[in-house]
Amino acid sequence: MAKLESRKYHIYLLFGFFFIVYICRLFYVQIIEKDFFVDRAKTDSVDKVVEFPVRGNIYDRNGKVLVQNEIAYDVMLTMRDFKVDTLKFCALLKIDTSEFRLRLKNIKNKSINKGYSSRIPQVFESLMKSENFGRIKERLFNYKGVSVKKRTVRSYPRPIAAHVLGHVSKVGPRDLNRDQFYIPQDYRGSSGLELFYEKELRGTKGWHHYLKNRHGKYISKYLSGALDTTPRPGNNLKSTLDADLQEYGELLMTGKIGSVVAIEPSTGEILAMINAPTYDPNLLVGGEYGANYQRLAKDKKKILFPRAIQSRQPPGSIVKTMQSLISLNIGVANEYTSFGCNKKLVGCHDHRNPLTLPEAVQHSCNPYYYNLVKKIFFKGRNGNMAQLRRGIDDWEKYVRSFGLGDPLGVDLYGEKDGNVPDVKEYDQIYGKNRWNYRTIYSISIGQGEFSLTPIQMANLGVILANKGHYYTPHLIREIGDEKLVFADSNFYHKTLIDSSHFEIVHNGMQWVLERPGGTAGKSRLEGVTICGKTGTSQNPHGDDHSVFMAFAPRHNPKIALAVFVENAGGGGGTAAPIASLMIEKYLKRKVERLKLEQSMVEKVFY
Amino acid sequence: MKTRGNILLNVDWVLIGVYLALCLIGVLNIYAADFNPLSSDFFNLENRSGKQALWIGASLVIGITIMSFDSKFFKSVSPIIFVVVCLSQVVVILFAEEVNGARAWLKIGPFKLQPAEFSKFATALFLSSYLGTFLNEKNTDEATIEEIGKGMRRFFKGKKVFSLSDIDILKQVVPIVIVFIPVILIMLQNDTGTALVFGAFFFVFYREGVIGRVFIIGLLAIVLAIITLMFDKHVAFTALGVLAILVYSSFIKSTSMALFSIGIMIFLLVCKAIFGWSTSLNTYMLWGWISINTVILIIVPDLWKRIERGVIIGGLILALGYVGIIGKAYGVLQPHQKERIEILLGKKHDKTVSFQTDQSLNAIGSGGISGKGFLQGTHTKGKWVPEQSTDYIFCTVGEEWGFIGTTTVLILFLILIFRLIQKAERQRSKMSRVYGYCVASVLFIHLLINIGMTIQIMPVIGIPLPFFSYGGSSLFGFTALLFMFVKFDSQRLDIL
Repeated sequence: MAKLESRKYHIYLLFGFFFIVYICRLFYVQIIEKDFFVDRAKTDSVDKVVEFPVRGNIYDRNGKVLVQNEIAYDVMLTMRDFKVDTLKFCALLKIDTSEFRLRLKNIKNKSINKGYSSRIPQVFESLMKSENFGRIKERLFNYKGVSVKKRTVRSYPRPIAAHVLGHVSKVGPRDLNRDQFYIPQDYRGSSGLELFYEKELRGTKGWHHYLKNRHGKYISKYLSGALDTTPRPGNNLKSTLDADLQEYGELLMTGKIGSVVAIEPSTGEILAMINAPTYDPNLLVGGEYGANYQRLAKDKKKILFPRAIQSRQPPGSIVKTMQSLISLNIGVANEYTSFGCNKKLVGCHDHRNPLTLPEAVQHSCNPYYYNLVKKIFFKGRNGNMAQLRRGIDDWEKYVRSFGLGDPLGVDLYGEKDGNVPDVKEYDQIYGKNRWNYRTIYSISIGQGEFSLTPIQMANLGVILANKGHYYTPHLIREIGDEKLVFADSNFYHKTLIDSSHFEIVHNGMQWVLERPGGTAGKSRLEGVTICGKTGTSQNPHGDDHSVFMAFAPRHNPKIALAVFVENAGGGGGTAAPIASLMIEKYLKRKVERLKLEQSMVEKVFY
Repeated sequence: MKTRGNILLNVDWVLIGVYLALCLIGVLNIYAADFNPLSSDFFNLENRSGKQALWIGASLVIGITIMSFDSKFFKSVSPIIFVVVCLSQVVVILFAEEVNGARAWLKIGPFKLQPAEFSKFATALFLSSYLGTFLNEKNTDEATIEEIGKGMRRFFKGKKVFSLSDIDILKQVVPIVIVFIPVILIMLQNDTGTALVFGAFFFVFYREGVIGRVFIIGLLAIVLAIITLMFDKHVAFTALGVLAILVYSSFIKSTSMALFSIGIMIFLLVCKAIFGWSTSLNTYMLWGWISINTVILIIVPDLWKRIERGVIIGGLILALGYVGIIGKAYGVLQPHQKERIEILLGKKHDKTVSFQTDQSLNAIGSGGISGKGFLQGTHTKGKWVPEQSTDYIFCTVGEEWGFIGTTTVLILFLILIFRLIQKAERQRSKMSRVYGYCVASVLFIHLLINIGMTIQIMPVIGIPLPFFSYGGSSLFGFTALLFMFVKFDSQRLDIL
């Protein structure tokens, strides 16, 4: 009896033991491992829903819209409820049944579409343009399980400056890894200004936190929305482009391959940057992006190639202006220095003989520059190889001070450097001491190993206009409300040429258009003194490229520009009239030489 | 004989107070678990909270009704109640519709009753009144560890351990039969969970000395069977071998070695329960335990010498045979039966079940120290845990009231159960004492399984949390169970 009664303690002990174990377990779960379970509960029951910010607009220098946003629609399917007559549905969306099946397969494939749930709407057709959507809206909503989500896409009221503005495209795995900002549905700038100013344009996402139930349905805001944020729109950009000038330049460049770059000399602001052939930027938007991109990328004319900053070409005779300045600065020549036009040295056309320095600019005399540059290199010690090497080194310093041989630093990615040949390069090509001036003389007239990008050619015009300095060319002047400062020393570049030497060269450049025998005599503009220089960029693969570099007006210049037209022959024929029309358009806002304009527009070089 | 005093003075208000507290906390949590912002009226009978409140009221009526009868009356009608409840279960088995795989509901007009919930009460009452008839107690049970050791030695030496005449049919066999009748009936209703609860009567039998050596050996056989099914046959056999050597050798001189060895196993199991070690660790744990014991065998001097090897070999052969038979018997089962056993043993996870238990643990764990606040539980609001107002009501407590809430509930239950045992021991009549133990044990097992399931210590067995879970039948059953004891206790002085 007593023995049995003592068993009550066994029972107390056993029951108590389990209570303690349970309390320990609860202590472990609710206190020690609390964070783990809070996290797990949150991933299950709280959904973060993004609200996309509006991407910043881009305006031209006069406040005209270049890029804005437009509403587009994502067509979403909730697979659990989606039941449809496949053929009719495909016909409505204008896709074929195999495409339809493929898309459904991809939607349901969890390795591609990680967050797949049959209860949550999935994107079936992305970024349908609103006019297309409007047409099928009524019929679309007759299907069960179909919903739409509003998104914004880029839209371009004027189809201009496609290469400069760039385009946006869906983020890829690399973007997602590199930048925490992005989520898989994001779009990001992938070329042009859209890419360069991505961080300014994209804004900040807004996040909404919803509490959802076991079936994925939202029941309320999480913590009454305490964690929610509203999206902050991206900054608007004010660009330096002049939309009218840009549009006019693109018109002039129709049917041609090449580029036009126009810069305001006093600020370095790029007024126009034309890449030809160009395309309508609206093509690379929304649902048709993929197909259109493929088509443009495959085009033999390399439509997507941003020639203005990437095409490296021999500048031709436009560098004669620079050669003149160097010779004046180092004192091997003056205004009246003259050389005979000896066509045995290098080919030339017929003109009066001999010429002074400004006249040599006017007539673009090749033998003159053969001799002048020889003088720059040898400094009177003809035939001395050591002096030639020193002379080229010295010359190279001057040339590099013109911003050549390196990218200028424009606010676009992918700008190319061009090439300034130097002693090392010649040694590599010909072998040390196995070359002399006769081997390399073609740099004196801007051919051979010498190459510039069109923007560098335009910048040469800026330097001439400014009499010796330039500001880093740029495309954006304001971000949001903040005006960008380009006047500081980071953007100001001074060449090694003293400003006193420019007037002589300017004379020659003015005569190019205004004096009989000038290489661009047809391109005179009434009432405006244009200083210009023609060039012919030799092309071993076909017709020569037509080049013209100019600024205007001569006093207090407002615009400097370079025109480069591939396979169009001499600079005076095509490039110079185009430049002249551009100057007229910019300075007078209205072009009166309609005949010239028409003849230029109608020229086709491909 | 003392005159009967005012019943209000004689009832144990602690029991009633804790009961009411649990019911109230329960209905509050049901309100939260079933919360519908469109119809948030607590007493709306469309809501589960409203219905539960109604049932709490009805339970009080049941309680008061029970209190108003004389306890002698219940003693005399207990066989009738038992038979009626058993018969109603037969009716359920034969005629009821299947709901969630179980034929357990009896439809009476608009109400549905689950007779199995009342059979706990009926069985407890009948069992205690039956055992209460054996007034002059003789200790029939010698199932102490020392006794078993002696018995084993005698057995392996070829001597007689026990004879059938040792078994007292009336005192030992009949009580077990009384418990097994409802167990079988409930198993036939496909309600394994409720049937398992009847294991609670083991504690009563232990306290009353009903079970003897035979049953201890039976228990060992069950444990071994479970080990065999959970682990590889060889592991089970090795474990058994080491156990046999160790326990046997320790019995000779000291029990401390045996307790130490068993203690290690219990420690490992407790750690596993608290830290939620995965089931794949089971085999490693067993091997760990085997190696620790082997080391003990080797390093403790003389231990090996003291062992009678013939006995060990005999024991191992016997165990091997048993393990083999279990393995064969298991192989005969249908695949779906095997699966159910494996899920029950925690070897396999049912996908929906593991979703349920994971969400349950997420809800409880994310509550932290003080919880997310009443009606603020994100998992509760999102109805993430299926069956949250019934079997998983503890999740609501854990999520909205935190560790403070869960321990408060556990401590209330602890007070209730310990108070029941304390009161049971004070009873003058054997019947009242046995009944008190029945109530305490049934509540304990429910608590152990239900809460253990929500915090992933126990396998998923769907039984309600007493006084808490939504549902009239279980509340009525538990109320009757408890108030009957309150009644007995209030009259304890009346009985010699």
